Amino acid sequence: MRLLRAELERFRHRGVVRLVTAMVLLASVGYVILAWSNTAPPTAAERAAAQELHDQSAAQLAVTSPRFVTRCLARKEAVEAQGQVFEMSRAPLEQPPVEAYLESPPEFGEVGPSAAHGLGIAAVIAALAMGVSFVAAEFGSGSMGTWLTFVPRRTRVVRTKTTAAALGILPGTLAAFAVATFGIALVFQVRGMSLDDSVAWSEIGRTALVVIPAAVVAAILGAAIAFALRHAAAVAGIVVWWFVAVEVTLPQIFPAVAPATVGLNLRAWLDGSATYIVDECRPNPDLPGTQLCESVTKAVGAGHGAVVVLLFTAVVVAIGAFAFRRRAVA
Amino acid sequence: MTTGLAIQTRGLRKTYRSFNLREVVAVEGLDLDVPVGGVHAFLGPNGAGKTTTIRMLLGLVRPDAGSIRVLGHEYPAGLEAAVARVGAVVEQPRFFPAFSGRRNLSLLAQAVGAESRVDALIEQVGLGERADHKFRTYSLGMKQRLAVAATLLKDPELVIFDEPTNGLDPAGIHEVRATMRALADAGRTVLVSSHMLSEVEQVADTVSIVVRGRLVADGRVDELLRSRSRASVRVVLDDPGAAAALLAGRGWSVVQDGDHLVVDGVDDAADVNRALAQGGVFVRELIPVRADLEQVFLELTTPEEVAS
Repeated sequence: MRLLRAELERFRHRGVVRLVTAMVLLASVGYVILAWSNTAPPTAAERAAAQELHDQSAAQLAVTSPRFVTRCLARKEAVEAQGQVFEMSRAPLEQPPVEAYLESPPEFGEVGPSAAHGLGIAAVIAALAMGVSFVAAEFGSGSMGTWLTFVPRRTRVVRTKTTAAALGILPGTLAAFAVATFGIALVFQVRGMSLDDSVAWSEIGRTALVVIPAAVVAAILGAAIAFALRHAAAVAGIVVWWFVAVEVTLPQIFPAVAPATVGLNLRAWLDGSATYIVDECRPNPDLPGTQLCESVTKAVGAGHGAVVVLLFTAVVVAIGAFAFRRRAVA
Repeated sequence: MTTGLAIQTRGLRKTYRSFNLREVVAVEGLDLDVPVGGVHAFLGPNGAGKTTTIRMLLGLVRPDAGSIRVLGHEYPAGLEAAVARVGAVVEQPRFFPAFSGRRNLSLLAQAVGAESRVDALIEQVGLGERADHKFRTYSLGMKQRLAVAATLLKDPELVIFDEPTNGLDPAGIHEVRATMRALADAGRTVLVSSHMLSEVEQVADTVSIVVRGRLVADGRVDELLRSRSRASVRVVLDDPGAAAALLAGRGWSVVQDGDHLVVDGVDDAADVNRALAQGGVFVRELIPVRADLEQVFLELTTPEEVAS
């Protein structure tokens, strides 16, 4: 416990950790500012423009409306002359109010869940970066060697550092979520707009319940990759290579591997589900020796996504711990 | 455990693979004995395997073969128990550059439950005024002081310094030397690796010399100096030419250097004085020249000596 406290202190005081946390918090404040701006009542200029549009429309309607009425009545007469019933299917033509020409204000049901979702993705990426930086900086500065002369058991070091990374990202992630969600709710309340949208609140809750564990896993993954590779630049290189080779190219060559890719499964976990397209072929009965293929969209569920991401993380942690245990430390 | 040994290694071996997959031997069957108490110098030319050995003693590098016992704990099972009683500075002091000296020390102190000692140690090493400045702004001497404070956090029984005077000015070197002596006088064992032989000679009680990863000599410094080098005498006189001929005739090796002679292989300076007086030559100065650690080191590390 003492060691974990020390590691948390080290994590908390890392410059990169503070910078990334500040950026995530800034993003959450950005969502609140955006909500405030989007829900602002129309300005005098916007009202004047709407009034102008309304007046133009009214003038046009005054010209075209009698023509429509005359044409419609003529058609009614013609239909009824053939002994048929003419049904007036359209509502009477009316001039819409001026408000209809103003941009309609957003609803909490759109803004709240959308902000939570966007912030969730940022929080997961930030957690990965903080996990990497926390461990890689120790190798880079050489302080890992000094630390090992105080805590010589490598497995213990891996365990406490990954745990510290996992716990260390929580305050920033929770704070960012709280700032964005309650900030946007406060904006709607101050504007006198409805917050009574249980679907939106449950979607925000679901996103939070998914994103917070996903961020914890990302921090553990980041720390583990750094234990394996030591340098932040090497980690960045491997991540880019992985994304291009494994996440993008491999599923194009072998579509069957798509449901095993980390990116798709992470998306499925965060969004509730994610889709991918595979070609399904069967023998063509009309032309023997050929096949009929069609693109089929398939879905990966949140549970499947979570399991694959957790398994991947467990494997990377094992590799990181093994590499660190075997490695000479300068 | 062999009684009275702080460190004991037997057959310690470590090899590295170079980029072209060739095996580079860093330490080859090293048998190192460091007695409890006093300052033990660990000497060797660059690439002799000193730092690799120290890293193995601290668990930073895994040996390929051999055994290590530190403070009675056999590695690898006893690594944690041993390292808990060891303070060490390996090569350059390595801390977080963006943290202050105090914060760096506090974070290490938390790991061993020594938070209460931080302020006292900062004062003890004379870092008080700069303790809250960032580590990256420290001079090398200040970094060394912080490293010394870090080694003392655990109140260690064994303190290891790897090239502690590298880059230090004379005042800094004197300070490190005084620190090592004070630690030894306080009952701790100090292992110091260095290539500053004259500095080490002033403070070390015992010594081990390694060449190409192998131990070539060890023991008490004074005994090693006596056993490894033949004494010389510097003689200043009016007629060095005649004296040189006289002494050479008695079987001594004599080198004339200006107005004085250097006579090698002398067991007792009085023998030279007596021989010259009997030949009617009288000396103006007769100075016994003691071999120093540097001479012994150079003798032991010559390729011929290593091969033998």
